[in-house]
Amino acid sequence: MSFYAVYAADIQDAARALSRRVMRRKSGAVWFGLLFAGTVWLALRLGEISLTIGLPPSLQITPGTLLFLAFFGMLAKGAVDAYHRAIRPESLVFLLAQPMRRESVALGKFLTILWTNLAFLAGALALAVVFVAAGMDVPLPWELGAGLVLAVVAGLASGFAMAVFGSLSSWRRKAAGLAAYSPVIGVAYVALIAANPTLGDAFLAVAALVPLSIAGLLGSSRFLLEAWNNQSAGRRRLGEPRPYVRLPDPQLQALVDLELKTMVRKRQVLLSLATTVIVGVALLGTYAVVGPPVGLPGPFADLFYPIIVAAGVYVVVATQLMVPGMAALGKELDRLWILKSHPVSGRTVYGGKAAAILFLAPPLFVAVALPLPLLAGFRWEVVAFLLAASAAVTFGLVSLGLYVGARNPNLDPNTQGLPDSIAMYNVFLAALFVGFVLFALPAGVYRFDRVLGILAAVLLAAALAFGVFLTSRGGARRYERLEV
Amino acid sequence: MFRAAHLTKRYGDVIAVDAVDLDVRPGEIFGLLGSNGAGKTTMMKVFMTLLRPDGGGAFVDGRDVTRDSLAVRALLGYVPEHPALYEKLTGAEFLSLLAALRGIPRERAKPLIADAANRFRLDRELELEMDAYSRGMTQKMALAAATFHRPRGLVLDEPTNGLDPRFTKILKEYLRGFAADGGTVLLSTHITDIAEAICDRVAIVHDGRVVALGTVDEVQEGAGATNLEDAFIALVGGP
Repeated sequence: MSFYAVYAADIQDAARALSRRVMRRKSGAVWFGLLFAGTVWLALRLGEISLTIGLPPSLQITPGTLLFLAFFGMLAKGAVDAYHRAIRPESLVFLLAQPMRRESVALGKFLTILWTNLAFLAGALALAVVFVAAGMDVPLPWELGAGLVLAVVAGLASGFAMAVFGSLSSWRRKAAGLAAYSPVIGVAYVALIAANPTLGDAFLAVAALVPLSIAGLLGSSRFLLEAWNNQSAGRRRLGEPRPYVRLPDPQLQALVDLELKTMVRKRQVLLSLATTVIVGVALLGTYAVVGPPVGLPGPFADLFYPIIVAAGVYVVVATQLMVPGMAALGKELDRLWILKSHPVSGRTVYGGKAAAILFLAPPLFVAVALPLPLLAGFRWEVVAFLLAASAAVTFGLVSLGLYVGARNPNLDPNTQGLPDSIAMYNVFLAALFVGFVLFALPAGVYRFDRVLGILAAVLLAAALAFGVFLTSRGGARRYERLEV
Repeated sequence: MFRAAHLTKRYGDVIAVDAVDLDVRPGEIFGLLGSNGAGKTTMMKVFMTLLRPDGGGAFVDGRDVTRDSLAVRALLGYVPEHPALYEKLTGAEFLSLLAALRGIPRERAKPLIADAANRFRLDRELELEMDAYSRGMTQKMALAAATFHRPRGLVLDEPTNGLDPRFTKILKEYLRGFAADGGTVLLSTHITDIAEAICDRVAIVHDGRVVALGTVDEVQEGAGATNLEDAFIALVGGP
């Protein structure tokens, strides 16, 4: 039962940290509760509308699709959680050095990740039941609820295993590990989507996935030590240090270079590019599968693909640009003494952080905002509008991320400087609202006059670029006040 | 060089530094001795501008640490008690970054970095990402980072942490040379042998207050002890 001891200590630590954060910002917890309830309501309402007006015939969303999306989403979440909680922490040495099996360490850590994510799902399901009981016309069969629970378990376990395999010591070993695990994901796709199962069959399929995923998790635990060791295995880099970028201000250049080199070497840039490309391919795939939006009422047909592109832009900007902004200060953790003990102003430090994040933005336009409009043969005005609006959303959400990261820097090594999950959730929802407004405002002008609409989007982007400048100044003030 | 005037620092209800007066002269190696939690690190962090005083003042070379923090940092080199480094940078990249932050041009930085690496026997580690550094290598890199730019003062919090006897000796010799050239060293330690070996003067810190100050001989004499360890125990309480 040593896995339980690992779990008990870990969950107690997590619960105390959460309780401290809630007590510190009670209003944030209340706001979180309201937003959470609002999100569940919105999801149900969207389901209700879809059931009423229907979707394009080629866009089939079955119970299997929903369960696969839950499985896949949790796989990504599980990989991130496992990396931060079970692979990256130096404190894991205290567990790895104990006379117990690696499986116990992995299982104990996994149970903590599972518990926290299941708590979210339980809350969402309870709220859904309340809303349906209050009169929302959305079917909520028990197989779907139970299937979602099982999809969360299978997805998180698969994510854990993939995080371990993805952290092995060489590209060949990583590829071999991930390839060995890929059949599990293949089985999930075939059983839940390709076979087009009924709800009952989808439930059985996801139930069968659980033991398979847990076995994968336990199998991966044999490599946990290698994955953990690999995180502290530095490479030798021969030759003169060369900066990635050249900027007129040497201090700013050094700071941007520090940020970029760290992100590249921690493979955050690779992961960011991969995510961006996956979202871009998903948009193209949607067009390939659904085709022209025939069958939708007039205005919906015109807006269908621009909304899809806007959603893709939101996902990429929020996860790949806003999140690093939120961790800008917190990720310094116990290294903050380095910058704070050198004669460099907070403005330069925060300017460097903001600039480094904006260096990651161009792939968004190349991979997400442009391909679908070009493939679908949008008019040039629409393409120009989408690009300008995407730039506005980019600057707006980067500003939001930098603001949150400076206001509430989290120096907790367990989260690698990211805000806690409650704050993250609040920010993502706020970002959804901000992103919607930043697309909708110029879109409203565009419907009135195309050129004015494009101009409005360009002006908004310029104003929000200035917003990045202002938030980085605000962040600088916060940085200057921070005691180390 | 380092002056504290009624310096006070609180963490909530806890008074970490309690109205301390201190004057460290240029060219001096000054040791702060104290038990864990005595207030040594807090005092050093105030001089490094990492913490703001709640009362009184702290000055480095006449500059107020609160009002003139960038100028103060430009004068000093600092090694914290647990130096965490940028693990994905190589040692050479790290020192180049610090040189750029200090406004040292690349051409001037290169010989300074090579000199510091040579001094702390880090030549082979310069090309290695700092992830792979041992505890001792990390400490040596932190010492190289604090000294490569030839600062006027050094603030060293437990500088011999993780160093083997050979490098402890190298460090002691370097500090003596640094002080002989006019540099000032403010260091903290709880190893009385080190204080006896290199410090011109020491202050014994207990519960945020300086309970004894002077040369090693003066402190021993004041406490009625024959060595610094016994003097320390006599002043802060028995084992």
